[in-house]
Parts: sequence; structure tokens; C-alpha cells
Amino acid sequence: MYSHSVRLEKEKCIGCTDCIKRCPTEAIRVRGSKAQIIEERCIDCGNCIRICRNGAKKAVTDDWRMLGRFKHRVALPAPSFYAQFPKAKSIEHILNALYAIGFTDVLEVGAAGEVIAEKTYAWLEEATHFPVISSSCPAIVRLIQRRFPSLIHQVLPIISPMELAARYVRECYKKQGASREEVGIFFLSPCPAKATEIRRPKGIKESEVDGVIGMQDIYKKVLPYLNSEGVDKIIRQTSLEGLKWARRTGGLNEVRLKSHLSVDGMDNVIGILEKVEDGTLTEVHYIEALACTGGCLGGALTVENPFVSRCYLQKWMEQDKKEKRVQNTELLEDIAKMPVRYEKSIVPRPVFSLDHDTQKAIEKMQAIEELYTQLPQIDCGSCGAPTCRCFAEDVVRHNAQIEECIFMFRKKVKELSENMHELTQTTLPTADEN
Amino acid sequence: MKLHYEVDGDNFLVAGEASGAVKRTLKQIGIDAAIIRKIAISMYEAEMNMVIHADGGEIDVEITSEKVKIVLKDRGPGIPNIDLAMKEGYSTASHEIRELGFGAGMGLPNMKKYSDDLKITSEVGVGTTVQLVVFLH
Repeated sequence: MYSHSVRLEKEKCIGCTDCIKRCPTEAIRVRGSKAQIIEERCIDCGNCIRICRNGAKKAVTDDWRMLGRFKHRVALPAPSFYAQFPKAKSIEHILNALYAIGFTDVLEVGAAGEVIAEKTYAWLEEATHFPVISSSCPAIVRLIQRRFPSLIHQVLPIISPMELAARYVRECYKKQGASREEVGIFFLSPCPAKATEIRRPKGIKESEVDGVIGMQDIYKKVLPYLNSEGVDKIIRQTSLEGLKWARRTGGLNEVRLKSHLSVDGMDNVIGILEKVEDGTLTEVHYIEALACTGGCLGGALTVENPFVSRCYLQKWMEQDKKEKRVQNTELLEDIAKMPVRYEKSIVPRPVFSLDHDTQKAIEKMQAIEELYTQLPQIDCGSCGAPTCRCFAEDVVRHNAQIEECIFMFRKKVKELSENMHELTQTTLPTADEN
Repeated sequence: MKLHYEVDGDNFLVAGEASGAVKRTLKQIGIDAAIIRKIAISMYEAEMNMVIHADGGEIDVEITSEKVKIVLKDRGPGIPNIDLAMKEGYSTASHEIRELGFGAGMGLPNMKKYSDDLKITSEVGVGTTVQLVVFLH
């Protein structure tokens, strides 16, 4: 059973075809005038949430009230979080507000990001398959498992900054003698894929994150507390380098990478992964691939428009630069002691495969090709499938009937009426023709 | 099953579309990822050669449960010396083509490396036929 973050609110869905067209894994169909998500295909990228004009798609993240279950409540704000609050006086004020609304501790995920950057440079020295593809965006790893299984061994086998931050927090509290049940670790997330990630982690057995809270859910709670007292006690943990993880080019330092490429936005990423598969990008050492346009700032759970928040992030980065904030080396060295490599390998999820038996799969593929030539090939979506080819596949898989295509339906009606007309022309020997 | 594609020799925007379509088909058939990669690399290379050197042509693909056979036929200038063309680094591509990142002289060597059987027949002034076979087991 899959525990996906992206869900459908049936009563709001009007059965339009906007979402089916935007899904990168053809995971949505409209059936009985309601969208349906094919669970095993969904990669939680959030494209359908962004496109739906009726708000019928939403990301289920954890309930805020979950905090009440823990004695120690640790917030892990992603760097993109700061860019949602341009009117705050400083990042310290934003962090202070997190204490004001009920958290007892905060670790900036950017600090873990700074460590992951170092670990990534080290991996690039020992990697044998290039280009190495970043793994910090869970939607991209899920995409590779489904659409680009041959690239799995090129995925960076290192956990995300979120997971490293959580591991470190867990370890700190363990050392202090707190029991596991007492410590709740919450990631403040820009995207639904992270919520799925803690339930179905990749490369590791279990996530140390207890809950994922969407930035949209926490935004209004934080706003009234941006000027709370106690801000002088806040000590920043990240530097400029950690904030960089919210950029669309990712958190690595371009100067330290030999030959690299960064790509954001699902369609763009797919285009680049096709090229990697075709063997045309062997000169590139590292690819930073982010599912959302604008990187994490474009996540489906953010509040601010990603192009606007990019400008706000820049403001915070410049402020750190002006204040000459240096890396918190003591903290970073401590975090760096945590293991970061994947504990298990990522497996392909061949969700598009037609049959386990190659011969049967070829026969089905042939049937799809033949059916496709009869279809109008205009990808109108009226049948509830994103493309005519996809509809042909659904018919061959017995998930749809040919008459669900409005053109095929009309053709059949026409044939039927012609047959009926023909029948009416038959002369009856016993009847008077007039 | 059989697939047929016409390749336009003047349009770099659609160059590589036939290999893309074959790749998608093979993924749906459920062919092993590593084998699809071999087919993708060698076919893409061969398709691009048709666009760069020969103003396009046509491609026929045959997929069985044992192998994938790809025949690429063009009516281009032909290859005067196939042995020479097979050498790594040998290229006849123009400066403009090299500017685009092609013409490194790895085309035929790569096709040989990633396919299980490669046959090239060519006649100067008539055209070239490339036959690639990749076995599925």
C-alpha cells in the first residue's frame, strides 16, 4: 500500500483534463468525471496540485497538532522557508517565531546541506559512472526509478540534507538521555514529495523525521510572531553556503565542480535525463536536477511565487554576506560525523511495463500501435487519458473501452445509422411499397 | 513487431525522435534497463549520423523476444573507407557541425561498442545502410 502525499478531493474535481496532461508519469485518468491517481505511478511532484484551478488536488502533510505528542519538538526549516517571509527583520526573527509557536528546538537544514555538499564533492572523486545525478529532490529519484531505470546507478548515493539534519538531532537527544518517543522532529517542507519520502524513504531503512509540515500550513501561524521577544538568544547555524540549497541551481559550489549542469522544472529534467540515457552527456560530471521550476522555492507547498521568492532569498544571502557570517565549523564537523551514504540500493519500479513475459508484452505493444493508427491522434483528453497513445495502452490493458474515444464512438454511430438506413431500403415482398 | 520511421535531414529539433520513440517502446515491453541503454546509445548515434552526414533517410526496427534489429538506410554521400571511419577520432564533420558538439569521431566506434552486431554497407554517391543488432539475453 502506498502512502502518497498527493491526494484528490473528489467533491472539488469537475472532471476537466488539465491535470492528466501535466503529469510526467501519466499517472492520472478521468473516470466517471472524476480524476483518479494511479498510485504506483505517482511520484508526488505536485504538478497536478499547481495546475488544478478547483483546488481538487492537495498534498496531505502531517497535522500540526502532532507536536503535542512530544516533549521535545524540533523544527527543521528548509532554506526555502526564509524566502517566504521577506518582511521579517532577520532570519533570527523567523527562527525565533518557530519557538514562539511551540517548537522547543530548531536546526537549520542548511547546515546539514553544507555537510552534504562536502560529502558530494568527495563522492565525485570516487564515482565511476558519470554524470552523477543529485538525489536531494525525491520526486526526481522517483522519476528515475519509473522512467529512467538505467540511470539508477548514477544517482548520488547520499541522503538528503533533511535526513542528515534529523539524524544529527536524533543523535544529540539520545546523548542527552532523552527517549525516542520524547523527541519529535519536524521538517518544514516546500514540497509534498518530502512527506512521502519520510514514509517511503529511498536508500535508507527508516527516516528519522517524525513529521512533515507544509510551509503553507505553518505560514499563518508564524506571521504574528515575527517580532517576538527572545531573538537575541537565537544563534544561526547556517551560512550563505547553506542558504544556497534553496536556489534553482542547488547547494553545491559551481567552482568546486569540474563540469556540471543544473536543470529545474519537470519537463526540462526529463529532456536532460533522455540525453544522459542516449549517452550524449558523458563529459558532464554532475547534474543538479530539481523537479520544480525555480527549484525548492517553486515547491507546491510554498506560499510565495518562486520568481519573487528568489529575489527574497537573494536578500537574505546578501545580508549574510554583509554580516560576514562564516560557516559554523564546530557544528558542521559534528554533523559530518553522522553516516550519510545510502544503506540500500534504489530499485527500478517498471510501472510502464506491459507484461512480465516479453513475448506477450511485444504482442500487446503491437496491439497498441495498431489501435493508435485508428485513433485521431489529437490528444484531446475527452476519453480521460492524457494522450491517444496512452488511451490505446489503457484499452489493450482492458482498463478502458474503445467507445470511450468520442471519435471512435461517433464512427460507430455513423456505421450503425448507415446500416439501419440500408435496412430500411430493403423491399418487403408482402408489403405495399407506398 | 515492426516499426518504421522517416528521418528529416534538415531539422535538428526533431533529430533523435525515432530513437526516443524506440526507447519508450522498449521500456513498455519491459526490456532490461541496461540493454535499453545499449540500444538507445547506438541507435541515437546512428540516427544523428543520418541527419548530419546524409540529409536523413528511413529507419526500420524489428523487435522480437530474442533481439532488436535496427536498419538505418540513407541516400547520402556514402562512406569511401569504412575501416577508416571506424577509427576513434576520425571525423569528416564540418566546423559548424563540430561547433554543435557533434563530429568527435566517436560515432561508428560507439555504435560498434554498444551493439552486439554491426553491419555497414556503403556505396559512394548512392548511400549507406547501417544494421544494428542487440540481443536481449
